Amino acid sequence: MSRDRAKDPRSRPCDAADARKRLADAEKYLEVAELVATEDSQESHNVATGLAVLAGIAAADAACCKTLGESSRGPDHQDAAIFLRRITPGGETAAKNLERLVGLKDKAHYSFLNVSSQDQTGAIRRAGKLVTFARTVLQR
Amino acid sequence: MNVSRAYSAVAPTVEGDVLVVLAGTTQPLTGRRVARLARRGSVAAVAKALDRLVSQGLVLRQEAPPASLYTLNHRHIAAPTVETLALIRTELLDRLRHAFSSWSIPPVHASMFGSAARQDGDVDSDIDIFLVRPAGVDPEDATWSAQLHDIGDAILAWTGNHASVIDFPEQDLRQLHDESPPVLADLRRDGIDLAGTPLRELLGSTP
Repeated sequence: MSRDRAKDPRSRPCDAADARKRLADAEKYLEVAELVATEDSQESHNVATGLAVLAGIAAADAACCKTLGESSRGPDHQDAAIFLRRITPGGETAAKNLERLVGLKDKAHYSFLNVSSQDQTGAIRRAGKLVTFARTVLQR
Repeated sequence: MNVSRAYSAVAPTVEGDVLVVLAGTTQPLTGRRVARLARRGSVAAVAKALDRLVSQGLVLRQEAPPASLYTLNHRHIAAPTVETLALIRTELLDRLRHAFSSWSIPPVHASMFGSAARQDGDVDSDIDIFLVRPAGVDPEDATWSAQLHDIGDAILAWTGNHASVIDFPEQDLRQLHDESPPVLADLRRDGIDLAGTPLRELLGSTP
């Protein structure tokens, strides 16, 4: 057990109020991502995808704060999926969505490469699923 | 029943609160963490409840000095019952969504708000529902009236609580937005979408 705990990613304590705040952030990021995605340009693909990633991370934080009383605080956002996976029911599927979403983060935020229209659509869909999951967790 | 702690209708003691926390995660939790996440119960009361549940085999304790870590024993024959109890509120929301989806005159919008949504009500609290009636449907329309009557009956049967329904005309939404009565802030802050246009879209996120 102590070995498992030592491998745990870094976390910060949080509570139900933090969960509500992060869910509101996630909803707003998603709303703006959807708005930006209505513009058909390469820049809008990058920015909409970046916002979708932020929505997914905020939604993951919300669900984890409510259920686990902690959320990931490491620089590697894949860590958030480790916490998300521990939520039952539904955490496993949500974690897979987050992993796929966060995989686009560097491309959307920092890269000289462009995000494709298909990636953008997938990112917004996954972010939407994560926001819905977080809402469901907070309503339990 | 107390819709805020719906599981308490069946498991009214601190054990119920503890079990619901543990049912929500596979992560081993300290007793102190369980107490922080539980809706009710001091650290000492939660510790006693955990001891009792460990003795029943329903909760597993692992020693991780200086703490003890607790998980729900998912192989216990009572574990599925606990998992169902933990999702009673979800069941209520699912039933409401299903009911509204079958209306022959669909509402422009339906949501739950007030104490049932905030999860700070008690056993006697009404369940507040905000409905937006489509423009062109008279409030006395027989079908619409029957739908309102039936949803009230259903809520009473499902929970033992009375429904308190705001039947709001679609054509007055602009006025509601302009006048910004206290109920609007409640809806924006706590409302849980059940059918139709989501609240965020219907009301906007700021006054």
